[in-house]
Amino acid sequence: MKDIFDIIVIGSGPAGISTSLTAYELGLNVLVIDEQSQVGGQIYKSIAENLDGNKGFLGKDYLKGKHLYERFISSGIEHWSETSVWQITENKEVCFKRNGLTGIIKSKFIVICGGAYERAMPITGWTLPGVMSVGAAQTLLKSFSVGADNCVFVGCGPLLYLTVYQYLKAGFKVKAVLDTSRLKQLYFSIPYFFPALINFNLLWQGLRWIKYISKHTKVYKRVKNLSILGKEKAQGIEITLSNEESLKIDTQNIFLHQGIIPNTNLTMATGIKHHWSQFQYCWHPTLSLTGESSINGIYVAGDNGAIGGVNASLTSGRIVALDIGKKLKKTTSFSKLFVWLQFLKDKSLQPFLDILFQLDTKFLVPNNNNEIVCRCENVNKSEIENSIKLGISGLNQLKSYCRAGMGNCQGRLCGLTVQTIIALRQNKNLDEVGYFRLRPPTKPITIKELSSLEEYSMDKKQNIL
Amino acid sequence: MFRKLKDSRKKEIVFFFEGKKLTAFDGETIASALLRSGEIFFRESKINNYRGPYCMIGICFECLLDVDEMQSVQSCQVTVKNNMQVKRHKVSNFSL
Repeated sequence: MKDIFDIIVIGSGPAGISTSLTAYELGLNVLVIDEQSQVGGQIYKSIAENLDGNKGFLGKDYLKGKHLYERFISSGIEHWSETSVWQITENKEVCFKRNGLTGIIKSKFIVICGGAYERAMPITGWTLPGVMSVGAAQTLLKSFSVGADNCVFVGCGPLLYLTVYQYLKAGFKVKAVLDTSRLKQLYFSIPYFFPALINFNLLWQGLRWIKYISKHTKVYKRVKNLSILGKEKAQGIEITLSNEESLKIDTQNIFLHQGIIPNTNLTMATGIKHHWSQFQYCWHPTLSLTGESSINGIYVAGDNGAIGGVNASLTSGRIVALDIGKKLKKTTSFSKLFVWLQFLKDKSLQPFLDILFQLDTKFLVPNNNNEIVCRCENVNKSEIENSIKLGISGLNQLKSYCRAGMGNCQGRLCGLTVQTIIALRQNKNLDEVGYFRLRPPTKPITIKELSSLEEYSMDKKQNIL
Repeated sequence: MFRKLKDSRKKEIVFFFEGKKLTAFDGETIASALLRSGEIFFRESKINNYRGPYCMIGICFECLLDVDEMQSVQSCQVTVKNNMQVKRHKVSNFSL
């Protein structure tokens, strides 16, 4: 198979855009593949439609994406939207699907910029219609200016505070914010506070959001227990506060959030080595300093590598592109020095946030035995525990005992919970327990789609695209 | 219930959910249009037990619907088209 492109970039969020722009400027032949209809990823979602700036409530940082978007569009980089990648081979072949057809294309280098998604929060009642993730609320707001009044936000982390702030600014009524962050984490995070001060502007911005939120809605801090009420749909939420006082809040829209994790399904299915990060409580692809994975020529950039935020994603994309440029003899080492300094600055805030909002496993493992852990296959906590009692060797055997992780989402929502339950019951470390063995296709494809698989070439372009 | 703020997108598109006539805005996804119309039961997980959209970014598969001839469509990722026929995705709808 011939290399048609120098680099194929998968994903067009901040990391994907910055990788492709840098590579393009170095004179490389770049293709960007993205699942969504527009560039921008989750963070700059629908930026193309919000260019007129009438969505001021989304904030200045969101509108920064406008500049990036315009640079990308005017560059004329080859961009395939609404195209999903479902397999990457070790020979650097990318299998994709688009419009009910599938294709395969080879490249010299592949950069995976799959971004991140929200860690599940399986508290009692989380499967009831009306309960969504905070990211879902933000997506609706960014894309369509859609939001819900009298809603309740639950959890902790920067994305939660930002979304509540945007909701309030947009004029939606937020009934309450139930903050699950813990006081002791504030002490643990002190050593990380000083390096974080380099990004003083971002810290200040976060404080401003929190101040605005507490002024405009009711915030319950240090929430200890949570349980969503309702039979067929969410009707309210019952909480226990740190002083053992409990109360009920009526609401039909509940948004949950406890941090974001790298989207490692594609990187794992590709066969890249991963390691457990206790700091961020998730799996990370094992990468070299320049972002290259354990497979030669396959790179990972942005939050897909480790959670670092939008600025770190932009810089990591540049680092990856410069490294590839060097391998193709198109760059000098001088240009890299500045980027490295920028990268150190961009990365210095994250450890503080990681510790301050570190995951409380209490909200990752349901306390109710009948609560569903695997949403796709309807597997509850006690079924998982019963399988563990039968003596399983790990997540993959558990999968064949009770089907947890075998549904459409391929463990994206239950993986960490199942892993944590096994670690607790078998008294093992989380990295020892391991994770599901993920295999392609990483996105569901039909037999019909698969049977259309065709090698991509310039003359056959019209057939596939 | 979800509502929409006023913005520049005005053009309305008509589609049907379980035979009921509903409207969407140009470019809006099926999931968003349904949530705005107060429809929250999307996918049947067991008989008589429904799920609604959870992540809205295409990872959770809880918003599955049957759209025209296609079964199991991620409704948070597909935009509404004129006269689209949308139905709940039911366990009993599986045809092999």
